[in-house]
Amino acid sequence: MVAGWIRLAGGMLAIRVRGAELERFLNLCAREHITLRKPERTDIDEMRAVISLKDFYRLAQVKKRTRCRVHIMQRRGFPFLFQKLRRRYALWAGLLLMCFACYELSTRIWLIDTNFEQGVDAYAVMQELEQLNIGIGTKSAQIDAKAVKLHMMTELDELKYFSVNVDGNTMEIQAAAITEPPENETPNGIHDVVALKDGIIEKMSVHRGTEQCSIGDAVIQGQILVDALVEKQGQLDETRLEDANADIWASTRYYTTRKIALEADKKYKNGKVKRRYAVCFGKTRINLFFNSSLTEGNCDRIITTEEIRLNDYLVLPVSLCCETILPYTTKAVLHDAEELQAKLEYGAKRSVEQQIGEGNIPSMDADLRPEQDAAVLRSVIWCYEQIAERVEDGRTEADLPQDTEEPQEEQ
Amino acid sequence: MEQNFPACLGGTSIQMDGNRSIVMTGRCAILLYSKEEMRVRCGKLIVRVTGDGLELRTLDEDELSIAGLIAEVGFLTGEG
Repeated sequence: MVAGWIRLAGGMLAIRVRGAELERFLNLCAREHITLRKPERTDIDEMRAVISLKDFYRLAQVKKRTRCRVHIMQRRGFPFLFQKLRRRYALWAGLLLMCFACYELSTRIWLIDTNFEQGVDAYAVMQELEQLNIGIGTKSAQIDAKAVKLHMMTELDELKYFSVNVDGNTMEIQAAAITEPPENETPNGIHDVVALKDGIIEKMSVHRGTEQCSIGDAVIQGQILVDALVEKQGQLDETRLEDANADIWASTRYYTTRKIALEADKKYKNGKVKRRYAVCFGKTRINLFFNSSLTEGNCDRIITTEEIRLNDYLVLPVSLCCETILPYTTKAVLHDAEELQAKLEYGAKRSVEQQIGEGNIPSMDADLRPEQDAAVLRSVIWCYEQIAERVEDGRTEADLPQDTEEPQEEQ
Repeated sequence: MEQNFPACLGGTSIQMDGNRSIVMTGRCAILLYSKEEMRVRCGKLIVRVTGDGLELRTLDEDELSIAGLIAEVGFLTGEG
C-alpha cells in the first residue's frame, strides 16, 4: 500500500499499446528497464498496462522501434493533480493559510490543567496568571515557568509550592497551600453543638461530646444538643472539655405564603421566526448578518452557542452563535386559581429548598385561595434536614469543677 | 548433439508453484504472448506454456513470471 502511494506521488499512467509486434515491445521494455505493471493482452494487436510517468517519457524510443502506438487511457497521481489545480490560486492560498493556522495554533496554549490542593485560592492564582498575560491562547514560548513560579510565590503568601509545566498545547499548573490545623483542633476551639432550627430529632450520630437530647425530642433553635463538657466515667477518668461534634437529623417545618396575580399577559407568537448567525473567535465576534437592530416590537431573543470540542478537555476558541428571534404580542388573560396551584407549589418548594442546607422535602400541606385578584397559597412544608450547628463554648479548663481528694480514714 | 539441460536454457532457472504460476529467472524474451499460450526464449530453448487466463506478472531483464491456470509446459528446440 505504501509502495502504491509512493508510485502515485510520482504519477502513473494507464496506457493502451497497439501494434503488430507487441512481444518485441515487451522485450525492449524489459531491456530498457521500463517497468510495465499489470500487463494485459486485450486483443491480438492490443495490450494494456500501467506505467510510471518517468518510464513513459523513455517509452518514445521503444514505440518508434517497434512501430507501436501508445495511447494514454488514464492519468493518476500527484503531478497530474497539481497540473489540474495549478491555476486555482484561492485553493493554494487557503492551503497556505491552513498550514500557517495549524502552525500558529500549535504554538499556543489551549488547555490549562490545574491541580490545586485544598487551601489554594484558585481564583487568586488565575487572576495572577491573567496579570502575567497567561491564559488560553498565550504562546507557549512566551511562558517562562521560572518567572511565573517566582511571581506566584512572591504574590501569594499562602502558597508553599507552585509549578508550571508547558507540554505542547497544555499548561499544567500544580499548587499547594501552607496547611494550618483545622479550627476545631486548635487548643482553644471548644464547641458545643446547638440546634439550628426548631424540630423533632429523628437521627443522631454523636462523634464527640455529651448528648443532651435523644431521638424523638422536640428541640428549639439554639438549644444545646451536644455539650462539650464530658463528665468523668470512672476512677481513672477525669472531667474534661471536648470539641463536640455530631450529625443531628430532624423533622422541621416551614410556613410559606406565595401569591400570583390572576390576570396576566400571555404571549402569542406572531410574525416570522428569524435566525441570525455569528462566528466568535475568542473575544472577537463576526456577525454573519447586516442590520443588527430589532425594530419589530416585542420579541424574544434566544442565543445558543456551539463550541468546537476536539475532546472532553480541548475546546477550540471558535464558536458559532445562533440568535433566534421570536416576535410576539401580548394579551391579557384571566387565570383560575387552580391553574396556578402547581406553579405556586413549585415556587414554595424551591424557596424552602434554598433555605435548607442538607436535607429534603418529604411532604407539604397547601391551602389555595383566591384573594383580591390573586391566587394565594399558604403552605406548611415538612423537611428532613441536618440541624446541628457548632458554636463556640466560652468555658476553659479553669472553669471545670475541681476534684477534691477525700482524706483516707485512719485505722 | 547432446547438451545438458541448464546449458540449453542459457543459465535460466525455472520455478513453478503448482499449476498457478511459473517464474523464469535469467535472460528471457517473449516470443508469443496470449491468454492461452506463451512462448519464452531462454537461451537456445523455447519454453512453451499453455493454459487458460495466462498473464504476465513481472517482466524485466532478469525475471519473467507468468500466472494463470497452467495446463502444460513444454520445451521446443530450434528445429521446432
